Amino acid sequence: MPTDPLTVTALGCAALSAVLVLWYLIRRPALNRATKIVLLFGIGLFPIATAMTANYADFEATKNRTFCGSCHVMKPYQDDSENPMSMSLASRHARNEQFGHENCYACHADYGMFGTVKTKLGGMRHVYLYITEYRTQSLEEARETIHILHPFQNATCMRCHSTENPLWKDVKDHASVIDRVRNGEVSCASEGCHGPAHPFSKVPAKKGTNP
Amino acid sequence: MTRGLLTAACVMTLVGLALMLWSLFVPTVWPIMVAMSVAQGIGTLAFGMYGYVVFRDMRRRMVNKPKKDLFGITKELQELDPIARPSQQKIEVPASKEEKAS
Repeated sequence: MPTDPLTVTALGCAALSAVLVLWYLIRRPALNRATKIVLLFGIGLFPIATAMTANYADFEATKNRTFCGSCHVMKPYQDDSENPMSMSLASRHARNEQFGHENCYACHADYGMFGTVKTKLGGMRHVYLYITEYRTQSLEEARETIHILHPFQNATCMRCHSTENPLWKDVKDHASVIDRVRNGEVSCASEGCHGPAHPFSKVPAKKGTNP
Repeated sequence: MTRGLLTAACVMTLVGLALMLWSLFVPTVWPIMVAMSVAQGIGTLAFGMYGYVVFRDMRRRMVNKPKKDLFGITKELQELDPIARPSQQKIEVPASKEEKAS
């Protein structure tokens, strides 16, 4: 039973719309003013309200890890995140109660002014590539050909790990490279530091493959 | 044709709603892509068909509406009752002295 207010609103509007439309289809009333008003609600206003709320709910749903894992090539990444025994960076973030169920989005979203739009456009690109290239690939092939489009930005990590916390600064490895971490010369997710985030996926990328 | 268009619009609305609800219950890539493209297209087309039917019905009513003159009297009534045709009534003006003399 859905409890999300957006989903409940969408379901309610859809139910009202369906009742009005079915009433017209079954009763077949004359097209007078009352019928027009009923159909205005049944075909126009309630479906528009359903579309608006459902769209918002869908946008929120696209942040979930289960959505990312619905393309089969992302399933190993989802499985690793959901593995309670995994010590990968992705899995450790997935165990965070605050955003764990959205850990893919939390780390891979763009957080600039138009970050959400850029992220969604990037997602559309992923869907396009999936449909045109990766849909028929085996997991082994996909693991070799899929890699991140741009190097992972430290700014994404620093949204939560500000590098200003005294406890963070007390770590010698942090203190020695603090400026290079802040300006992105040293990646937080690099091997030897906290990465790689998805260790199982680290095979040399083939030349001419799409990120 | 009116009833056929409205029936099609109603059926398309139901299909569009079903596709939108599918994405809410199964929030994976295909249902969400379909809900945000195909379902919305179907819904918009259905609403457009409803708008066309209503517009056409209103225009038909306007065209068939009895025409009235400036006094709000319909043409049919004018033919039945000539007195109700003030624009065509012959108004008798008393002749002037010059006219009487001539």
